[in-house]
Amino acid sequence: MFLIWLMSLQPAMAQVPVQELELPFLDDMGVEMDNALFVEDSPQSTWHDGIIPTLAYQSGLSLYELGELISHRLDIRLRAEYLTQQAYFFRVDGKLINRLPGDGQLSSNEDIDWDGRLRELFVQKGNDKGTLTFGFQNFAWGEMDAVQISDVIAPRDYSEFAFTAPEDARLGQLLLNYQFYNDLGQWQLLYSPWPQTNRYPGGSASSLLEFVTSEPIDLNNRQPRILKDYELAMRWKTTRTGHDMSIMLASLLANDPLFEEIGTSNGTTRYQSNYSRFNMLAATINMSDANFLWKAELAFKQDLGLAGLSPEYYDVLEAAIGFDYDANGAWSATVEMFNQHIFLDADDLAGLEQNNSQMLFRWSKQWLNQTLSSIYYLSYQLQNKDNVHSLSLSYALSDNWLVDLNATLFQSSESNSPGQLTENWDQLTLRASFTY
Amino acid sequence: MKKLIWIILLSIASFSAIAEDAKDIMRKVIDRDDGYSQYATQTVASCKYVIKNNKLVCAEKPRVKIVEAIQKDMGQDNKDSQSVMIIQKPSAERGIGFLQYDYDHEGKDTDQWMYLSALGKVKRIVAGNDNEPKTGTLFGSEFGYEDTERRHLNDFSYRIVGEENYQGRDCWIVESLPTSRYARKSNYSKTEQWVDKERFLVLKALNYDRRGRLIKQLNVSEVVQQDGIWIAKKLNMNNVQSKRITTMRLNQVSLNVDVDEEMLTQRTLADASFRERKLNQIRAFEN
Repeated sequence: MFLIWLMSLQPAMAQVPVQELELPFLDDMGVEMDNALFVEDSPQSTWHDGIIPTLAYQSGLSLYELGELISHRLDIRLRAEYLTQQAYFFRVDGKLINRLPGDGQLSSNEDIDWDGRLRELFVQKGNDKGTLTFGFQNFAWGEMDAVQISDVIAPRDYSEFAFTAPEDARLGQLLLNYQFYNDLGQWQLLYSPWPQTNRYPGGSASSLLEFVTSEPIDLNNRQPRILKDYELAMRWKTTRTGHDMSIMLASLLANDPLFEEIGTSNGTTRYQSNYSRFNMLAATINMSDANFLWKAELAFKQDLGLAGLSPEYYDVLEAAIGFDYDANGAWSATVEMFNQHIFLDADDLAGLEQNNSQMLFRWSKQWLNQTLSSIYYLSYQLQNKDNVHSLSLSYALSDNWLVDLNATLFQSSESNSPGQLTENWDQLTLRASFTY
Repeated sequence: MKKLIWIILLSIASFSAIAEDAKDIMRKVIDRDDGYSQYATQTVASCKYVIKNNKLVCAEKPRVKIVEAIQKDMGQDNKDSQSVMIIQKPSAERGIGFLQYDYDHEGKDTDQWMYLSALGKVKRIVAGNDNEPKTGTLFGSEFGYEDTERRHLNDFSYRIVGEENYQGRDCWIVESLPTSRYARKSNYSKTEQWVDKERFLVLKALNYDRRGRLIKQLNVSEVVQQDGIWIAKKLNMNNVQSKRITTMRLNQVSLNVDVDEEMLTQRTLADASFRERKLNQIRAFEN
């Protein structure tokens, strides 16, 4: 029987090309490849499609004092959006952080604490001509990825300093934002009745000052006032074949405070903080050319408050050029170079450099069918040679689970450079997150 | 992403005609009527596989992406194309969008923008060098960028190497060899395609790498006719070297839908209320 069965197969086997015999997975060999992956015919929408919770655990260890715990926390992030029948669109995006025992940001009398972040909470209504949005918005201008020239509308979360993930770096800015479109391009008008400012460890400006001065201080912290300390801005942007460009005009409050010493009290230095107003005229352009995307930003900022030996207000010109390079999908790199120039004689600068220049480099490559990504990042300050190196690995264990490993090293060689403050912060951070 | 997904789904369709030679056959495959606009939702699922009981079985939990996409022919003779694609799932990537303007004119680079929902920013992205092979793939699937590009007839020489009944359909087996100019930027040294003699559909394709070894097999199934246009609703791309397979499934498709040109701008990426309002209108049309 076996021989008869074997003989009956022979003609069929003889017709199979040798090439395919070496590859037994082909359908010609009778392998059913059609149902290897079950794919739903038509995935049904559900009411919770617009609600996305992410639960994460993070632990950070010092690389300077080996093994010392720096961060130890859980966080839950919730993103939700909803479009009503009347075409009102709502979105909320916030995060609740639970610092666990051992976390470096816990005060000495706390075992755990809770902290919150709000990135977005807005309502939006539009028609074919334009869209009006009101609320806290995650807002980004400009062409540069790392350098901040025109991208100064939304405040930043510096509570973790250099260790904040890019997607968490911006905080929501309270804005009435009207965008409209005509033949000349996209127009955007912004009004902020209560500008929000950068966030620091401990959540207040006094902790920033204590960090810088390393001494007890008494701070009269003057936060922006509702309606009185407003911001106004507008942008025009156009898109053409191969390039985009934009022009921005704004009257803004600085996102960082300026501290002014106003005396002493019981041996404690007293300070007054102020978020100063400046005006900005900025332009951006990008140009695509084969493997390169060239990009540039230029901004003139009038009366920009800068802290040297004492707070002063200067007219400055900020410029950045750079490029993104893509090796046809194999890897990519970004280079950005920045310079801030103060329009004043160098002798009158009260402890400030006339030029403040920085170079940023980023290299990334994806592996294992885009489930593993590696990123190297370098920031280098040209005047004082402070530099930061960061290497990140991010692996998607599944469509829901993501594990990130990051090592960051700080180097500072000059005794009076700002980098001295963070020189001992070398850190290894592990973060695991689950998105439902 | 060089082209949106439906281009490969629809590019296998054509009106019936009598073929005279291999190049004529492929002209009829390429010059098909795929409608002047499309709306579609698609699932792209990939996994590493093993063979069990003569069946391909995923050896790991598949990676699944669901995208919603719109495309419209533009420009002179409708040879250019504008398209937008928004990721719906996985949840962590929901809202990430791609906008792309493709030009038929040789030497004119594709314009591409990406919306990073986590950063709230529309970013122009590098189109890539058309004179070198592209190594990236669509969402990490087995569909490489080259697999998703619309082919130009004159980039290949053609030869009929056989005839076969495949999936119950009479087919020509057409061998395509890239011209020396195109070979510089192609990942493949040769392609064999099983072309349905009646419908001018490619039902199967074998792609050979630059060293002449078989690397990928494409199988097409669930072919339906909609508004007079043949559509393959399911494509399997089997990488026989890495033993990984991707299934691309067209869940919903509407052809020749009324697409507002404003939808094919950066506004659709960043303006959620505008996008959802417009998409709801098209979804209602589709249903």
